Amino acid sequence: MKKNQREQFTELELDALQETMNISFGSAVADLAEIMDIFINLNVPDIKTVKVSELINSIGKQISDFENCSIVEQKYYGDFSGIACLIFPYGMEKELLSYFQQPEIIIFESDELRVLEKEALMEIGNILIGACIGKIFELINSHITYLPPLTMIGENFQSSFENSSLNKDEIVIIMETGFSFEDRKIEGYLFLLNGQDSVPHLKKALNKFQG
Amino acid sequence: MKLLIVDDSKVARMLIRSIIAEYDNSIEICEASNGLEATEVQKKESPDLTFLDLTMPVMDGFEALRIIKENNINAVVIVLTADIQKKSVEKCMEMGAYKVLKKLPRKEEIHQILNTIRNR
Repeated sequence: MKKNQREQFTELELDALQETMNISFGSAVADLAEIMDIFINLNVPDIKTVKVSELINSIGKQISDFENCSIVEQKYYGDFSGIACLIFPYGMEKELLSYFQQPEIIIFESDELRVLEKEALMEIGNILIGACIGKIFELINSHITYLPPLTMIGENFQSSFENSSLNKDEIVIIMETGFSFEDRKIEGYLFLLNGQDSVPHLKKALNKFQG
Repeated sequence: MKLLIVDDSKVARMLIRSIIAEYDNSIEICEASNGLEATEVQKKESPDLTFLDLTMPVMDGFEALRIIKENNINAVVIVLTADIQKKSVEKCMEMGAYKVLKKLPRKEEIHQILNTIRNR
């Protein structure tokens, strides 16, 4: 079987992982769409393996249009550990809050507004990250525990990774996908960053697809 | 019986192939890896049934479904997708899909559909 991507996975295994991400994120988006009565356009997911030292460059290419970001970051542990990052362009948290708000309610207090925007971002992160990762772990028959999510508003996305526990010499497996909310021109990305220890567990995904 | 499987994922195509082969391994199967290829194969091969993914590069399944139905209003298309949003399902049905199935499909669902098509 042909290998590429730093010999971590065969092409067929990468394909299986991409399909796992496709199914899992599709399921998460369906949950969010139902709760918020919206329609979300899905991009084709991608799987990459890069050195941790190249991570910022790799993600930066995807979100080059985002000057600053609003981020929900959540770490997860189980048979292997990883970090999920949901990234929107800075300012979109205001739009996200409007989905939860009745139009006749106007909040003038800026502190209160900022708290609500952060909570709206966190809520959307909770749904998308929780449902997507939960489905991935279900597909590979593995168990998962989450740490509480962190939200960062108006940050440069690098700050999210600079303090992460990832070892700079290690390889990281990036499972990524983009999406857009059809009615508001809101676009975002979900990145799942899994360490080297995830490789044997992620390989199980292929067996699932092969039945 | 001749079938067309359209999916950008090779493993997804392999999975459907194995389910179909278990039902009847004499069924002829064509494949396409994006919507554009699907419309071309559909025109050339006129399959009895097409399994169509939605989220694909080059041309997505919505556009492919529109073209397939435009070329042949009687084409039977099963949309097989991870995009299970209510609005996506409704859109596919409005566009003339025969049924929308969620990935990963159950073997029994596929076999039941094959039975229905065979007995038409």
